[in-house]
Amino acid sequence: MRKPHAETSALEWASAALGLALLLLVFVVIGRDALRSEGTAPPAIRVEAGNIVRTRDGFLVEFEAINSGGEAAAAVTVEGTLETPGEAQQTAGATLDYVAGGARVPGGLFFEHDPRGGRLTLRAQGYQQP
Amino acid sequence: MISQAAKLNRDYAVGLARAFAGAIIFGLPLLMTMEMWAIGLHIAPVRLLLFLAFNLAVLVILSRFGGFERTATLVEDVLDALAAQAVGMLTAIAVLSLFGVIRPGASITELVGQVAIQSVPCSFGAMLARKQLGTGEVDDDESVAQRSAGYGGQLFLMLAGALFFAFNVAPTEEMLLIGYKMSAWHALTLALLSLGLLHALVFTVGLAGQEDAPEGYGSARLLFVFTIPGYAIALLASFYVLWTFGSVDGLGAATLARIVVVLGFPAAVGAAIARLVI
Repeated sequence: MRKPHAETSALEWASAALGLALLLLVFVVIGRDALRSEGTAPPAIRVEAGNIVRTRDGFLVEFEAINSGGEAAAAVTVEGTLETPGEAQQTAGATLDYVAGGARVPGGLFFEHDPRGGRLTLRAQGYQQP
Repeated sequence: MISQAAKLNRDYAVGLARAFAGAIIFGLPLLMTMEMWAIGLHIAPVRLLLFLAFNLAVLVILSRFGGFERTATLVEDVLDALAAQAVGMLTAIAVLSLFGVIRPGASITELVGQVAIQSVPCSFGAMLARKQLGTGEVDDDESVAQRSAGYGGQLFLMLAGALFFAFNVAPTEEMLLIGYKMSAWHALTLALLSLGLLHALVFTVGLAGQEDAPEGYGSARLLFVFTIPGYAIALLASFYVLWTFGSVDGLGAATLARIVVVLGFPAAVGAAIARLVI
């Protein structure tokens, strides 16, 4: 039998090194997360409005739900309220499957009137613990 | 003239290509399971790290028992386990990106969690690729066969088979749902059936690649020495996988036992046929 070192090719070392590097990266990233979530901060989700797009039947408000807490939230309901002077108040809602800790999840809400002509409030209503 | 080093590299490259094929074959069912994407987002970090470390240890031992290329020393087994890990992660990244599961705006924690959990079945497949996809060359290495022949080796193979089968179905919602649908009597029957099936598959049916019963072992002794520990291993593996995924947190003991028995069914089958696959 040949000596073990004679059988270890350069490519083998490279693959193993890549594997080790990836594994270390995973351990560092998740380990940091583990240490940080020691105090387990609950989800804290704020909703930011983005582009307003004109659609055939009305207006679309794009938003991003941002979880600045530590834990992930499931079934997050987002509600948008639009108050336009001289019109009835309008609400629109969306449900996001998951908003992980530190994640930004995009979505959209539909309104009849142009949100630029009124006061638009976006907020997360609640969530389910995954 | 091809130098010795170039030939070694070429041989290893063939092994790597097989490993990628194995990773896709074994990993695809879970890469296409949406619960797995979600688990990557909300799994407890400490449990994930523990499971990854455990997976690496299993890969090293699997490499000793077979692996995607022949190994002579433990150092090489560790190198191969790390390479299988790399193959598993790269496969997971490539496939999840193709599916659009990995979004450009995702946070690094999110991304790493999703890839790390998927790298477990993928790296397992990468490691088993040689046995499954090899050219069928005869092992001149008698030692490889001997390494897995002892009692400890047998139990380890059962553990690896049980883990893999359990891992493949555990992420789905159905495990809990089946547990809720069954009565206590259903669960007891299923446990007995799993036990019987494990015993039958390992010793009676005599599938190709299975060990013959050791000489002088009666049926009762086989039951106590192999089948019952094998089923215990299947149940433990099931519980460990469920605990890692966080699907059993906050459940009462009776419900928990029922769900472990449900998952123990595929795990027992996995334990029984491990020899064929590994």
